[in-house]
Amino acid sequence: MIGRDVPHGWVRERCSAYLSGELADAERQAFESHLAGCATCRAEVREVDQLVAALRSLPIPMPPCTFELTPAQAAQAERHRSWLWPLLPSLASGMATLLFLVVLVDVGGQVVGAPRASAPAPAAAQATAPGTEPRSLRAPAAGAPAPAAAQPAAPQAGKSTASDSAVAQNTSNATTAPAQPAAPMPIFMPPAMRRPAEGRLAWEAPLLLVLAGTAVASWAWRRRTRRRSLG
Amino acid sequence: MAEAQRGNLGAFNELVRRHQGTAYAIALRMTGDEDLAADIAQDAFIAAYQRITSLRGVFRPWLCRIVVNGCYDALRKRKPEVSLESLQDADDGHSIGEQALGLADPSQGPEDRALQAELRRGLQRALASLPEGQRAVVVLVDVQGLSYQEAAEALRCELGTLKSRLNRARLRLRGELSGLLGRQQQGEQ
Repeated sequence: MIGRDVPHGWVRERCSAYLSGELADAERQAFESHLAGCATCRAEVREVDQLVAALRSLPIPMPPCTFELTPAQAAQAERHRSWLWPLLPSLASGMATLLFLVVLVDVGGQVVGAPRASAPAPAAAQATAPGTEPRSLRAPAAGAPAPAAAQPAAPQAGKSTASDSAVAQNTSNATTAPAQPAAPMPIFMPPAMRRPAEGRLAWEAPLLLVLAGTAVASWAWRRRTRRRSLG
Repeated sequence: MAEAQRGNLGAFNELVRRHQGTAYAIALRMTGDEDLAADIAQDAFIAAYQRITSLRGVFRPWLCRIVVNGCYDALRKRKPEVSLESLQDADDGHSIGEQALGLADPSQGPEDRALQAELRRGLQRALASLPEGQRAVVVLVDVQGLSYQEAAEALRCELGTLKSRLNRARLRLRGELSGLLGRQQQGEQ
């Protein structure tokens, strides 16, 4: 319930809403009871009302000429028409599909990859790229459970950022302890590249499929638009 | 509109004829410069022709958005000259023709006409002193009579934001024109 003694600021904020009849009953009553006792606000509301009436009564100026497009202007506009505008809908849907697929492959890959990652440490270590092996082996607790191993490994990376270690930790959490040597990877790697790739879709495949689909959809859209404009 | 979207120039020009008054009026009230307003309106229709295939909603608010954006760009480019100064020249009838802004109304008596002309000149000057965002809301809603929904669509903002911006702009205009509005009220009584 709104009290009868509302401040001036409260009234000023609702001035336009009051004039256009948008206030709820309780608010309108509070507004009007404030106006009844406040000459300043009453004058202000009246002047705003006058102002709106004056603005509405301003005559519409006549354009000095017509702005219709001549065939020459239209042809020039066609030539400069950005190829991007008609493609935007298909590009947007293509990007959304791509994002969805990347997430799907990532999540699916982690679920499929989980039992395999429970292999003993040496096997997992062999599966990693040779370049990452020395650093992983230098980690003080290479065979220890995931969090314990990921944390000492982070300082080893020297210049690795917080997000790098977060990626490393996520990977190590997903793959459990023995897969640890491959975990503290300093840069972001696509999921399929972080795991052995045999028997699984490569990361690039869905991307290429989506891009091809987008291109075909865009081509079809342009073709349809052009045919319509000719017809 | 569907025909215009299929590239039919005649159908597009029908839309131009229907909306060119609105486009020019918005540009003129936003910039206070007839030549600039005509350029903005013409450019807006060319841009609309180029992009009409991407239009998924109603034509008028979409066109208003193109015009308002054109005004923002033009005012930004013209910033060193400051539009307010050019509008103040209108007192002497230099920068803007009084006829164009509707400052003179021949159907009234001499005193009323003088007061009305003064009020309208004051209105245009006060409009020019508003920040561009607030000016656009007042021009679209109060001068051009767009609905809140259409104006929010044209300015790409939430309905609540639009309403509070409109209220702030009106209070500010009222502050600028307080003396004139008071005199007009006395004249009416």
